[in-house]
Amino acid sequence: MTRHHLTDTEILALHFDTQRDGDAHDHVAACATCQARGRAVTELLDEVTRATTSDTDALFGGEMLARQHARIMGRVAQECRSARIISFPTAPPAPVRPVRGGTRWVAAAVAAGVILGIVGEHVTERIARSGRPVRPFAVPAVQVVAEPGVAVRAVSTSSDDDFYGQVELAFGSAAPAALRPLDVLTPRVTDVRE
Amino acid sequence: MTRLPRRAETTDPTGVVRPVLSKESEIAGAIKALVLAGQRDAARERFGELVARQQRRAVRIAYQYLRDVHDADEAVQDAFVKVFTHITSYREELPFEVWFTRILVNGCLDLRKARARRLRWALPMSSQTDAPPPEPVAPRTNAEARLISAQRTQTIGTAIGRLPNRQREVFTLCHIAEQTTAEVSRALGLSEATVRVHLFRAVRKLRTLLRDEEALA
Repeated sequence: MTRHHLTDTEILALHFDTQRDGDAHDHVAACATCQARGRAVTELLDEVTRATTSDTDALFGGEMLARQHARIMGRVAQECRSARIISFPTAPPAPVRPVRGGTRWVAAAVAAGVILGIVGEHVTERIARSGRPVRPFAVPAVQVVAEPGVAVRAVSTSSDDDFYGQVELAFGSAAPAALRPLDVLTPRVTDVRE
Repeated sequence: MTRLPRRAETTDPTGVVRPVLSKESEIAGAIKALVLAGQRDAARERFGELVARQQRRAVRIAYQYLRDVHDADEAVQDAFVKVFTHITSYREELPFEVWFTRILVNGCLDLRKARARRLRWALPMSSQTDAPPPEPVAPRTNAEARLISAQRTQTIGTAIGRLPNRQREVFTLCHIAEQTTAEVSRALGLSEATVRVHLFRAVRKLRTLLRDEEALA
């Protein structure tokens, strides 16, 4: 034995096998005190190992480890599936709308109606431009019966306002009997007057 | 007296000394080759074998870091999934355990940070994580012996928990995960001398804490 007792660091280095110094190994082999110190370190750390591993092993039993293994493999399988490469679309996809049969027919009918209207207008316009007389709308003839003592004048019915104005004038100047045909048409006027 | 056997080493044709690779490293290399060949299903089958071999060790490491069953479970799952998704970046000349431990430890640290953020806003109330760990399986038979054993386990757990983060990290990897100081230095990105310093300080502190507990008892 050529040296003093080992330091604590040297004892720990021997325990963890990081001691390269050959003298330290030789010393421990010959020194009972240093051997005892080394054994104390080993016992302490063995106890720590037992405590920590038994603690963990009790918490993570075989069943739990099996479950964990299954979960890991499930996640790995998921990773493999998600690795499929999808090509990036070159143009945005057109929005897809649900189309019902009835809606489609209504739309077709409306479109056809619009087209017929436009065509009809064109035809009418062409006929008008070609110089053919357009038949005026038929106006129902009103027969005016002249009563004795009532002056009958020709009334221009250019508009409704003129017509009603003439009626008011006639009502103020003529006898009620002369206006009877008009009363048939406008009974309220008579009601108001009578 | 020595506890950790030094990993066997070999010299490659270029004269570089490399550690003899474990079975796990061989499997990881095979998985990488299968993935690169596009045989993902076959790779998955081999990966199941690798998970089974490393699962127990991974759980012990994660639990020492997180002290919570659910968080440890999550960290281990995440680490294995990451290993599979990044298997093509695994370097076959290095031990798989070192690579895997690094991934696992980083995951544990991330989870711990996330938990700290969560707890920052949580109301102080007793939760399951605060509860003492369940009674471990012990060889003793009578109730008193089991109780003493449980108390001692709890004391040791508390003492480890009181270690500074870096010391606990190094101690867990060297002692519980049974990695060499060289492997831990690679896993944590520290020099081997720094790892040794943290490791020895951790052991000394543990010894002091446990002695104090014994004296109080």
